[in-house]
Amino acid sequence: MRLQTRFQMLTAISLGTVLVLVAILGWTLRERAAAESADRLAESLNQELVERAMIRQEFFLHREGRSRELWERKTRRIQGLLELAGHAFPDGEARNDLEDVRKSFTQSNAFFKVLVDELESGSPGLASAAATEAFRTRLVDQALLANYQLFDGSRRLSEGTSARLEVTHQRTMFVVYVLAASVLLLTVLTLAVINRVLQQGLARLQQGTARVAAGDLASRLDLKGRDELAELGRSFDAMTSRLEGATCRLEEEIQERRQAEQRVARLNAELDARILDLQASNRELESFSYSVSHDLRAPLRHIAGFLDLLREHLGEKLDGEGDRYLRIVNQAARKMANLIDDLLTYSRLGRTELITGLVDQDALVREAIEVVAGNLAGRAITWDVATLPPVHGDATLLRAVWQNLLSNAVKFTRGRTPGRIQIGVEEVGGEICCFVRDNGVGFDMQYKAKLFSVFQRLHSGDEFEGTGIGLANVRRMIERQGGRVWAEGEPGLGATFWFALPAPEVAT
Amino acid sequence: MMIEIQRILLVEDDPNDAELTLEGLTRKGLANQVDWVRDGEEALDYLLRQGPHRDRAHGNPFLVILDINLPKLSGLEVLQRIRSTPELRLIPVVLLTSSREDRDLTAAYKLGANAYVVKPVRFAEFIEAVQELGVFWALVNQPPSVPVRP
Repeated sequence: MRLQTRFQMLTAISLGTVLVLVAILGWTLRERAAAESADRLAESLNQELVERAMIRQEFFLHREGRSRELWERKTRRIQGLLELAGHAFPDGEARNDLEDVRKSFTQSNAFFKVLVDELESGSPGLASAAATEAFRTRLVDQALLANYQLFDGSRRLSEGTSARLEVTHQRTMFVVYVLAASVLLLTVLTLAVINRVLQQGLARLQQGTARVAAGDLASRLDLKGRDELAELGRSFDAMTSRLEGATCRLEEEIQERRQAEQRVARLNAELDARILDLQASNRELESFSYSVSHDLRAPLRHIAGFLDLLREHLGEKLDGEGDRYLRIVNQAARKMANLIDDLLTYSRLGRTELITGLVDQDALVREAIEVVAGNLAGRAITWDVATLPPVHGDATLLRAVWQNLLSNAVKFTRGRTPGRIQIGVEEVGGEICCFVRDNGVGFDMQYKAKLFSVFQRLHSGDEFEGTGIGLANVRRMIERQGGRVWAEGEPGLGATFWFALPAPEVAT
Repeated sequence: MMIEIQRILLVEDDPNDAELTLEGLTRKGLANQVDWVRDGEEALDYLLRQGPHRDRAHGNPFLVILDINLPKLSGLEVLQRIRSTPELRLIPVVLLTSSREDRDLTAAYKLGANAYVVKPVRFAEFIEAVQELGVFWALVNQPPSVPVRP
């Protein structure tokens, strides 16, 4: 049962009990008031009767008319009191007494009337004075007797009312005591019940919540019943369940995160070791390429140098075939030197640190065109140069990229009149894609994968000179800046070389 | 006071390179003025007149042609010693080297090289470069302090 219902019922019972008791009290008080008024009435009746008796005595002594009037007035008053008493004494015994009083009253009145008439008429027809006197004496006696009976009745009536008054008084007091005791009892009882219910419920709640608060999320209150405390307990249990679930998930997550952190730390340690290794091998590579640049080049220089000295030394003795041999050796040495230079550039590109920033490509393209235009040897080239957006990258690398692509374009348009070279840009999906398009010899798309690899050439050295490293360098430079390269072409129709870099707002 | 002798000091460990350089200088009539040493240590001995060069004539060469890749002391170390030695620091020093590495170039100029020439592979260019060097520093360039004692 719900606490609210319980408290309401308790209140209703208490109120009902009190109401009933108050009603009883009211009734007893009314009874008591009735008894009091009856008692007062009986007292007054007694009083009036005594006074009337004295008036009558006075009348017998003096026989004055005034006394008689007084007596009659008293009699009317008593008559009125008796009529009132008809309503005041509803119960049996008092009614009998009242009836006796009324009878005696009527008799006494009747005797008094006869006596008065007798006295006033003088002689009522009796022959002798003695007879008259005796008659009068008898009348007086009769009247007195009736009067005594009247007094007696009145007294009994009065006693009855007094007794009744006492009884109603006691009853009233009893009801008051019972009422007070009941109120006290009910109050104590109600408080005790409330106390018990709340104490027990709260104690269980308190113990349970204390367990949960101490961290035992698996414990449940499991309160039985359907009252508010049980509901509170169930809500608390539901909350604890969710809390337990959440804590569980959280702990799992923390565990996972910790493991992930450990993995990351382990990977980082490995990475650090790898970086050290890499740095060491990088240093090794650097010193390797350094010595290559010095030591590999020196013999070539000597070959070329002493060839020239030999040629001078032989002078006239050198015939046509000998001259051709010397030229071939010379060209081979020069080619080897170029290869070494390009390889060094290629390896340096992988090592040097990038100095990135916003790069104005228009300036780079102008510069590159100037450089390659110096080697045109009178060839006609039609340039079609679009305005290029700035990109995020390393200016030195980008300069090399443009020079490479443009000198390639110039080289492979040899034999076209005019050679057409177009420089353009497209911005697609956060990338800036620049291209160099020419109407040169082009290439077969099935070899496009080889274009950007070291030492891969699609044309023979007789047709177009070159080491086969230029486009590999371009790819390396673009990829180091976070971009990509590709090419399109068709044999005899020309080629388009693309490189794409992240647009500046996307690049970090 | 710096005394100058009419000599060029060539510091080159590779005899072939040395011969080619000498050949170039010969063609401008400067060969007689060249003293050739083969490593950095000897170069300092020569400049400071110590060791095997204790007895050479007083005075500084009017030009030092210095390779970088040298046994014992590298060309850059020699250059550093020259620039930090009061009586040597004004000698013009030209680095003639096969290194195209930026760091060598930067280091050379930081240490106070007067010129940095990469040895060309083609003999004609090489000779030309050497001749220009020799002629420029021997005939055209006026050395900083010139109390010339014939």
